[in-house]
Amino acid sequence: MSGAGIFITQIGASVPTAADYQFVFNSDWPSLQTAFEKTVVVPAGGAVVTVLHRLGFFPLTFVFLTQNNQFVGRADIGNTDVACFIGKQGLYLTNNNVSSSYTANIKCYNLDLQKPHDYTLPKFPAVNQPYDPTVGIKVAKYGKDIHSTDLRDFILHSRAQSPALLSVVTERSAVTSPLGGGLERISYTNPAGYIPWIGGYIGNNGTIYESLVYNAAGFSVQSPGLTINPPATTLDFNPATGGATLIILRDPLILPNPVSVNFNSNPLIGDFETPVTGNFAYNPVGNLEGWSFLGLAGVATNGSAFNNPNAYSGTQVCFLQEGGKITLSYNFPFTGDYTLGFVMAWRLGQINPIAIKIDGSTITTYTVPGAGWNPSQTPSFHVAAGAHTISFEGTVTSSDVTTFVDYITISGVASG
Amino acid sequence: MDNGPIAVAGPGKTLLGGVGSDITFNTRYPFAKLDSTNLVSFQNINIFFGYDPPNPDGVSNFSRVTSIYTFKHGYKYIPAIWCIFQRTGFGDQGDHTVTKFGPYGYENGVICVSSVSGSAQFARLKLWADATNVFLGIEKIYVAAHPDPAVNLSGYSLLVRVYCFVNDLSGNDVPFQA
Repeated sequence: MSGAGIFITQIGASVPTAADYQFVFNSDWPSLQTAFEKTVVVPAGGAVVTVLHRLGFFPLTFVFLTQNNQFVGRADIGNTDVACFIGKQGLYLTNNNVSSSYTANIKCYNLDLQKPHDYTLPKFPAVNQPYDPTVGIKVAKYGKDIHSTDLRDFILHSRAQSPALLSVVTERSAVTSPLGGGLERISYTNPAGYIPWIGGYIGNNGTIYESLVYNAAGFSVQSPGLTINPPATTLDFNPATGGATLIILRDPLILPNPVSVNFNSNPLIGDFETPVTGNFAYNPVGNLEGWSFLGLAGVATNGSAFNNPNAYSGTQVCFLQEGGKITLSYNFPFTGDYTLGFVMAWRLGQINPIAIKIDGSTITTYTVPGAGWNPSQTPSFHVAAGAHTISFEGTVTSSDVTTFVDYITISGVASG
Repeated sequence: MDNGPIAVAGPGKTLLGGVGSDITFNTRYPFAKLDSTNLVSFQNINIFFGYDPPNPDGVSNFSRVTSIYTFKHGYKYIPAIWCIFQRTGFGDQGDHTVTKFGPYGYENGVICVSSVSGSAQFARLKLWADATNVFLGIEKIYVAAHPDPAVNLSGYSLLVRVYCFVNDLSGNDVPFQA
């Protein structure tokens, strides 16, 4: 630690004696500051959208994409439609999807992709720390209340931690790549027992773009490209077309005591979050879970004109009006006894019992017993391994009554 | 660079000449912020596939997403999210997934490939979020006309790291922006 600067430690640690990982903020190393931000629409069809950041260097940039008020991935990484090329004064975005536009939130961080750094001492993030509002430091944005409880109102807040920089490796340290073909390689040797968060960037005719750790189509190795591997991460690139940069943050990829999700127990097969609708839709096409909507069946979002309760999970529910029906072809992985879990709710007190069927045979018929979401499950049923059709079907066809369905899960045990 | 009212240069750097990360604190620019009192900010999720997520039928539907985990991020807006995952126990299914792609990937990255013939059936991790929840799912891509079987995830694990930032996607985070 140098003698001057700003240092904030976790509660209980003092600045002169604190270990590296006990610093919430330390001005000896850069933390990520958002130097430029803008939200733009990237239209379908491939036209280039230019956004000037005027920072004068190639900033570390993340582009967060949303559609229909949902985050759907980052450009280049989470979404293969939108590409972002980073320039010294601006960004250039393209959308190769011919029919769908995206809203792109651009965050340029105060970090020059072409300037190498080499810090040491990995720093573990302060997870689930207590916060004492009587100590620490807060810097509010202009016009914001220093007493605000919304952390977005602050430039710096000692309750919040920012990813901090460990190192930046540029093409200046490149060596010949063992992949051949005139490629060069830069690499970063991870600290022992510690895989840091790493991003790779490759230059291309005066701009820089994020390199993938996988081939977006999944068909072959992306080469040149980024490979994160213990004990070292490598980035292969073609020096004829531009440079390369590895960004290494001080946060380890893997922390102890993760949340455990056992997909064996009750996988969620019906959440009905797709396709996204701004209100409600009969017979929507494009449910990514594979459900088909027949007759007076569809999906409705929170607050829709269909008078559905807010979703039990997510923001959308399925509705079964009168004899409306949903079906799913499901590949049962083993011969055994299974149970379907679900929640249902009525619409304005209406009663429409729902028949739950496997391959057309009714397992049970469920009637919503009262207001709100009612969790329940089917009796167990026996099926052979392989594809079978699950269906939920309204049983009242003589009057306008609706039942809402959400959060369908399945569990099973193998048996002969 | 135009610095804010309070700025601190890193060791060996000057405020007047410093560019980018040379300035380690600058009131002109807000930090990317993770609420250190909130465990969800640094969510670590270990997913074990004792059960293979369902395949698309491969004829009329070549892609199927199965939701496998949802958690509330605790904010009333869509937060900026980073995600990275580590595959554990994935064996090769004809195309040496781990060998070729390495054990780590970002959101929407391929987690397993089945391709003896090169037709490449695969699965990838999906991550999406709205103003309430973060969703994790598996998207399986399967084309029945191709000779390779759909990937089978049974017995494998993913260790997923998700950062949920206080910073939202409204575009209004940076004050005094030109």
